[in-house]
Amino acid sequence: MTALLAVEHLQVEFRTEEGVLRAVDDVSFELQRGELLGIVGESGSGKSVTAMTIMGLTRGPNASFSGRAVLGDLDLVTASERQLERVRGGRVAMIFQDPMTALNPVHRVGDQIVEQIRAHQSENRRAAMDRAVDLLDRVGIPRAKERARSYPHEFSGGMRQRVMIAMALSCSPEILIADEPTTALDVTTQAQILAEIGTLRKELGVGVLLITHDLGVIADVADRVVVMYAGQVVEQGSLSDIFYDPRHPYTWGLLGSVPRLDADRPERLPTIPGTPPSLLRRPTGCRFAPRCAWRFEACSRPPALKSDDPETDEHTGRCWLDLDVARERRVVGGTLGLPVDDRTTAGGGAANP
Amino acid sequence: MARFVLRRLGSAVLVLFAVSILTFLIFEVIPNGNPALRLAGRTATPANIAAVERIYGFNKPVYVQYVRTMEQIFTGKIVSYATGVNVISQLKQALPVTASLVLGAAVLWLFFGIVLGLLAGLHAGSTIDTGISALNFLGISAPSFVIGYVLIYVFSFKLHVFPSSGYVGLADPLGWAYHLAMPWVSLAILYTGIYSQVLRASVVDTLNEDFVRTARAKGLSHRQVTLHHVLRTSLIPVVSLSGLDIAAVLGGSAIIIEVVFDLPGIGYYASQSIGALDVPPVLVITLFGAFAVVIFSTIADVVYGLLDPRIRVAGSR
Amino acid sequence: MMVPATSAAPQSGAHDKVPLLELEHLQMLFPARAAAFGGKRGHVHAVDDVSLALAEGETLGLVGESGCGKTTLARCAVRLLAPTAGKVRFRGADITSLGPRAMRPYRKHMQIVFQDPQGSLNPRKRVRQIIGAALELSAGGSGDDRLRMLLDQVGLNPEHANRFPHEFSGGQRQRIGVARALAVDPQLIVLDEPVSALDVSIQAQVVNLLDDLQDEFGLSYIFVAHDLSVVRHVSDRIAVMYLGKVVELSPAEELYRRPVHPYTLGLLGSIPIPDPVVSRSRPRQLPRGELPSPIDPPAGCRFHTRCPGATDICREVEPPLTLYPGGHEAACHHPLNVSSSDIAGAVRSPAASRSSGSVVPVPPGG
Repeated sequence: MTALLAVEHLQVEFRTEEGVLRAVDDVSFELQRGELLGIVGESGSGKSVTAMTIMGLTRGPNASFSGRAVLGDLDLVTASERQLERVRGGRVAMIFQDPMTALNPVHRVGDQIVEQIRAHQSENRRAAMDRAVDLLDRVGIPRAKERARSYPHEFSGGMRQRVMIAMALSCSPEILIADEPTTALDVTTQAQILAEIGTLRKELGVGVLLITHDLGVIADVADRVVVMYAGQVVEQGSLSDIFYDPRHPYTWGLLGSVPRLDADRPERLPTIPGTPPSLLRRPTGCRFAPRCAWRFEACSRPPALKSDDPETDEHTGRCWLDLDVARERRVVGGTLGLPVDDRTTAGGGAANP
Repeated sequence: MARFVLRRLGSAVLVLFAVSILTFLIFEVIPNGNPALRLAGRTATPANIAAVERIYGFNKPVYVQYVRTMEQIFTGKIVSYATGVNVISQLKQALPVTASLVLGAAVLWLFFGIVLGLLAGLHAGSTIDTGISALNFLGISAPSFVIGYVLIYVFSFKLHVFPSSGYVGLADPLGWAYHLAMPWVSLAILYTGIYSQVLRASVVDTLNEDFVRTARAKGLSHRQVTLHHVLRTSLIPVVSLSGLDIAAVLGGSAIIIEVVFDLPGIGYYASQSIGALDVPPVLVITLFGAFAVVIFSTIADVVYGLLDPRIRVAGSR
Repeated sequence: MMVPATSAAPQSGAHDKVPLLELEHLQMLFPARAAAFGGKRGHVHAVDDVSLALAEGETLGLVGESGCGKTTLARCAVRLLAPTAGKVRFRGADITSLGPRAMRPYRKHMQIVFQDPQGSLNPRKRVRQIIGAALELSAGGSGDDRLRMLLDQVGLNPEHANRFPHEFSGGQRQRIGVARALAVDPQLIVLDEPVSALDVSIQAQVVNLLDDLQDEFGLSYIFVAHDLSVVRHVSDRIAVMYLGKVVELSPAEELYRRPVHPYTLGLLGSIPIPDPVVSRSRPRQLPRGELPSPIDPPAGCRFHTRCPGATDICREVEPPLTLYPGGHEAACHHPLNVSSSDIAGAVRSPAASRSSGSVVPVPPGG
């Protein structure tokens, strides 16, 4: 089966005053039709830059790219601006983290949706507005016809995110990229929005790329997961691979440090010591080694992303530990986690820009 | 909306009251301010002066003089102490000249300010930006009378393409524009610089807004993003600024240009009256200026509200 | 352990000691106008008749979604805001309406750490100056030794003292904020969403740090959070707020095991669990729809518009905060997870809103 979207060895660098910042480093993954792929990572992991690059939104005089992001027969990394304009909002739509600022405050929401429809399809204003109203109604905005005439500030955060979703769906995209779509929302609203994205995926069969820092969100909605750290993919696999058989110590730490409401309250919250490395001065070996309690000699050389059996195993990890050793070490105090030598860990490492 | 405008007009009355008192008092305290001395003529005897003071009421307490003067202003009867000519009719003659100057120049500075500011903002950091900024600062820092005289020297005395002075009424539109072309340019250069810089900063801010990223992610063309999202939002500060600037120039700030090009406008009238320590015209012009500021800033605020729906509804949470 | 503010402590172990902080029927209204060009006026009922108390060394978790009034309540508690009505007492002394000068001696005892570590530190000051300014107010002296000790206590290095805030990561900036609060030797620190802006792994570090500091200095915390996940690890008691009211107040673990108010159950259900099988299979009862306007809150129970179990009484009578045996309090006409003996022993809490009804829940069918 050919993938809907294939990202191959993508690399993104930005020239800054302090040097060249490699935000995305050799990232590869595929998104299948109707699939929900979660990309998880903390700030600086490169997950958002990856998504924005697929949309062609990171281009600029200080950016340089290599690798490919193939959509059908088009490589989005090298596509012309004209080609990208057709892809954006047409074949690939995107929703963003902060619905409070993602909509233009001076235009009515209906008009903002109409604008997108008319950019991609030759439809007259009235027909486009009827479509916009239908879409708003479909994503659960009450009195859609009336509300289409409202301005963004007249909506709550959750409702604005619904408007964003309606807008994203307006041209029946093949792919929906959702960059932290619920991070700025309240928890009850987050649950509603995630449910909405899940429903639309099933009904419309769009492939969804969900970018989040929250493994809980991933657990609820994703089919497959890519874990990113310091610009690289450190682990990739199915939902159960990542949650029940994680191979990379960073994934263990991440899973361990999410407070779990279904388990007993631990004495101390498990953490990952230290802070992520600066993307200007990356460690030469394994990028996670400085924070990893299990590092050993091999970690001074960069590990490759590999699976146990390339023939059958799509679960890959970027770690020097043998799989059976890893399986032994990833359990701390009965749950997945990373051992920590207590509270001296914080200040240490280089301050991040 | 109506309530808002009424409130603003109410506050205008207070502003005018304060401005008139202040102007009146300034002339009361400056030395040699006694208009009776000049009204009585060069060879006046103290008795003449006293007589003049009595006729005009200069021997009365200040507040009585103030009330009397105000009464004359609002009944349109006020006359100049220096020339004896009715001030209101003078103002009516000067207003079209100044209005022509200001509105023409405003069209120029808004057009060029927006074009240059947008270009510089969209290409922030590039050579285009640096070049435009240099031009802007040149325009802002060059005194307008220098620009005016340079224009006169080049285009009137050397090339003989534009007249160096004079005003032709709108009855002859070509002559009107022909005579005003150089004054327009001289006045507009300063404001073009300012507006271009303001818009540039606003554009740079707007480009970083999330909604601009959304607009691009929607697949809009560069043109649509620039005009419909970036420019539309960036214009908001320019609108409120232009209200005040147009009002200020209308209220007499164009003095220098009017003097340089010999245009009998409000600024020219004001400069002559101030030179003659002639209280009535100065008072009338000052009041007119203050009134213009209030009116234009109210218009600017209403337009601001139309451009930015967020301020129409406050307190949304 | 905390007691309802005005009560003579009906639960076990009567407290003869005065609580550190007491809030009595606190109310905070903000004027709100519907339109700039003159519209209809109203008030945002940010905090509407809330009574709480905080004991020495205790952590009270204050949880609710945006617009519930948690931040306003926390700011009233340390008198950054002057409440519209009600009382704030610190160690028994009424500080509700003290002016800035009279408040000064109390300011040293109560500090606040804000959510956004970036915005709450002056970007043009070095860490040394930021913390130094606070140290000058303290009795402990303002020497370099104190500064070094403070930095060490929050897990920063001495050489960090000469850096500017932007040179730090989010987690480190939050540590600077904590060090600044600690500098004056406070008894009470209000933590206003202190980890919400941080990455997950860094959140845990800061929470553990706060935990350690509390043990070391005997601090009392009011920990404001927008969901129920992080507060669990720091709180002795948790108060859940909805539209300006406390709807549930309970010892921390009890709240997770036995939520009584449907809103609390909804909050718990909306937090994802990082375990696909568990998370997808658990029953969830999520609040429906949208938060009503705090300018014109619903009559009766404020939650009735979103509650799956609302009945007629919920639309008419505001349920009083009801005290169940064991110290669990909730304001609901149809409480969940309570036995008939719980209901038999239930009384109207002294902390109940004055506007609430007097009827405590009756056992189903009884």
